[in-house]
Amino acid sequence: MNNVLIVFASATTANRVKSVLRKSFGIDSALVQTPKALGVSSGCSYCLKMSAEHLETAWKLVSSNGLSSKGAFDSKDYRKLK
Amino acid sequence: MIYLDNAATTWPKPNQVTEAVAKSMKYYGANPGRSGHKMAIRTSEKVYECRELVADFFGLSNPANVVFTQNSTMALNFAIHGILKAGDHAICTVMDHNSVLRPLFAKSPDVDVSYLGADSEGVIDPSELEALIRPNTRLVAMTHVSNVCGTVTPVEDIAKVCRQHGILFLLDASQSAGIIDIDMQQMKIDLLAAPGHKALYGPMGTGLLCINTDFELAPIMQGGTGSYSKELTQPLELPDRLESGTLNLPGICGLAEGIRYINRIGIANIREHEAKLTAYLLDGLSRIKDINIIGKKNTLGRTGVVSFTHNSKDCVDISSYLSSNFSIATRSMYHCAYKAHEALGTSDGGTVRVSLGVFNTLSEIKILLYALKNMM
Repeated sequence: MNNVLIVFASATTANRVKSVLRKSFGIDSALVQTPKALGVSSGCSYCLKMSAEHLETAWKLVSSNGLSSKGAFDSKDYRKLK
Repeated sequence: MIYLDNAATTWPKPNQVTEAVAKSMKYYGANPGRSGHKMAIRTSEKVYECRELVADFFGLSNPANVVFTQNSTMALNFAIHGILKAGDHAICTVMDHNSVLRPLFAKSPDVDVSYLGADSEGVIDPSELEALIRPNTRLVAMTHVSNVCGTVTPVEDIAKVCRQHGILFLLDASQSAGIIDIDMQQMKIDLLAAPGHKALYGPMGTGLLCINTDFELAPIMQGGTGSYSKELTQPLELPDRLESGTLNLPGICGLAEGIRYINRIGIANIREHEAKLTAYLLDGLSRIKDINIIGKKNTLGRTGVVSFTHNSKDCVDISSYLSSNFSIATRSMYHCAYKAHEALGTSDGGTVRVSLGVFNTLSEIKILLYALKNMM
């Protein structure tokens, strides 16, 4: 299955979502630096990389808490998903 | 050494704290929130772990509202200078430390400051706050526990009045964090400043500004945050808004272990231990000729910060005698809180301050009392 990248402007926000996903939903994700090729980072941002099956849960968490995200992308072809 | 200067900084630290600091230098040596390599990611997760611990400790729902600073003074400055503008009015108390008084004084004459008084035991009456409030009162800043005499202010009553008037309430928890249970949501505290290195048992060089308000503090420091690098304006979101530059990662790792240590023992147990020692100390001091206890004479409404004077001996000489002859560490004079000394009646000469911590024992208090009884 593919992975997805959810992009955040700061490491703190990314870590916050990572922590909630793990503690509340049992979803594991990895903190990685945002690939430049995504073209969304204004420099030095971080993504959460996770299995695509968890995208909807993660995105709902992000949007329902008003967290700032630059979008969700396919980790292979960088297609924007959200 | 018999260390009775815990109000200045706690010592010793729990072994876990020392070990965490050393471990961080080896395994978490990258700059967190900057690069994308494994050690940097691991380190940023360590920082976040501490934010979560702090948020939980003080009843904050969002760990991003925990801002790491160098100490409580920096946190207080961030809050005071970040909130107050020309034309505002602020209220503090005569029992406050210079870390509250000086930044407020520095804002004058653009900002008016009023001082809530205290009685001769350092007790603040919350009912007197209402009379000081003006239409342009923006901030009430005050200490939770006096660093001179340990008197506890009933801050919930203060916070309630502030909320009723839409005034921000900044709590200086320098002498209460880790000793008194503080829940910012429950107690309606908008901002809390605390040192990591006192009763939270973290290393020196750590401090916290915890934010429980939507009010957007103006940053007084700008710089690199590891985010929005293309933009010249400081990021708006917390904690980046108020955290520029490299964090004290070893300190933060140590602070996390300090908080875990307190959580394991339990604040109530820590308070009970210190109260027992304080009761013994107060009783012992009251029986020594020429010694005058400053502040409350019993453990009700006070912590283990105890000040005293001597009818014929200079307080600096007493501290020096204790240090030289018995290796007892205390602090004398005005404790960066001269207004408090004025309120307590000790502005002419100051006091000897004994401040207890979780590692102090009854035997140590007995030795202190013996030393004081036998002063020539």
